[in-house]
Amino acid sequence: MNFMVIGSESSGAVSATPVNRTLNKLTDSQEARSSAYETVYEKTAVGGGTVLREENRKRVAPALQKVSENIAAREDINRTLRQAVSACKTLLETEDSTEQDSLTIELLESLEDLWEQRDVREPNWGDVLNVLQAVLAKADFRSLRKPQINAIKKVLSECLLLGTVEDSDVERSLNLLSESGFDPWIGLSGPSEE
Amino acid sequence: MAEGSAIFLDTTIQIARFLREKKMKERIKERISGYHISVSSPVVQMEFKRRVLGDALYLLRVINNEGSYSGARRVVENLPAAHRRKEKICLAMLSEIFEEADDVELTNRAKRYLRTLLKSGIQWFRNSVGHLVSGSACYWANYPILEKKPYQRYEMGGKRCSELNGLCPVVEFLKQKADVCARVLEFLRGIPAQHKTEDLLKAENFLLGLVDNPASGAENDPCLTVGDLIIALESDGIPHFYTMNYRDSQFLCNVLNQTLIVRHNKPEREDSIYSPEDKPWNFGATE
Repeated sequence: MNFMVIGSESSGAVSATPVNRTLNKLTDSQEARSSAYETVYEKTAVGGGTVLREENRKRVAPALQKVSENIAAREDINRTLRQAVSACKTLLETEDSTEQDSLTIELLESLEDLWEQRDVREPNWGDVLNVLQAVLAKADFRSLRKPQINAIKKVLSECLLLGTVEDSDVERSLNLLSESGFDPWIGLSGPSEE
Repeated sequence: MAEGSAIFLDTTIQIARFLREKKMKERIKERISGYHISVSSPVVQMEFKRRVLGDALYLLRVINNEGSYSGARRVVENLPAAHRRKEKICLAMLSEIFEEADDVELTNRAKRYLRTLLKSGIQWFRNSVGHLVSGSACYWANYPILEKKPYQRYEMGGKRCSELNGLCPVVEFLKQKADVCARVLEFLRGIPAQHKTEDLLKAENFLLGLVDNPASGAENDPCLTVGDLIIALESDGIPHFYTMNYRDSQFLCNVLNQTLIVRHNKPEREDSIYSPEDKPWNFGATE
């Protein structure tokens, strides 16, 4: 195809106006086919076409299915974690002892549910949960101070709710518990003498 | 809290703060809270790592080998007396805490606790002491614990300065402390033989060797073989020394003009306090 330069050469502008040839459409309408095509064509949209069957659809790969199950399990974990955080928040606010008891049981049950799902998450996540459950196992909730409840809330919300619990998050959790008066190493300490 | 006061925490105290029962931990905390700052040293950190974290790794291997918490407990309970410290990293407490847990759950919890200790133990040590003197700058103390396979394989580094081909700065530290070393040596030589413990004798021989050849320090693995002496040198200048090992410390504190505070093994007992003027502290008859 030739092109004609419009204006001065220095401008460099070209027009796609053909000089010696004209372009002809090969199809008369959108649905029609060019005779240049040799393959047999059958329109599927019209009655006689092949009906798509289910087995022709792409199947979900097993690995992908596992990922989606994991996402669902993680969302379930996060929901339980948010419930536990909420229980801590209410524990910090309420003065009603019956409500405190109820919230405490709710919190411990949430942690138990999380423990059941520990293998969904990375090792650090389960390790922190293990320490948290150990420090709470023998604690008298009625004698817990607000900084301690706040520390539990922070471990839940600022560590366990993270997408990935890094080593530094584990250390921070241990520090939060320790600074609030818990002994994070109680599970490895000598047994009580009582 | 006394403004400007400082207390040095030795290995026995740091291990007790970690592994002993609640009452003991409270007694130690109470003592430390009376000081403006608490201080420890690289060799204390190295000993903590070697003993506590080394034992934790041992226990993890036993659990993996036995395949269960109960099996590991049986192995540990049957250890000879010399290895009883391993019992202190006590698997017993877990079953007391989680009363209703079965063996499978306790196995999983024990492994997770030991991994947490292996990975975070050194950082906890550093946070708990508040301050670390630069001291000997022990190479192995700062060697990181590498996790090769979670709950299974860990690399802790070595114990011996002599393995490092001069990398460990302990020789330089001993040169800096040459005058203190000479003072300690003179004092040790003056102690009647019947009052000299095996460790004090080792310390004396080490210092004698150092006089002959100052560059020989690392060859004799001082952090491993005469740890108490190196810790004493590192604590030089800290006025109060807190320990559960009074036998050697009473002599070393005396020569370094430190007040010795002894935490007794029974939590209900009060700490014993000895000022440098109290010498010679009955030569080992403290408890």
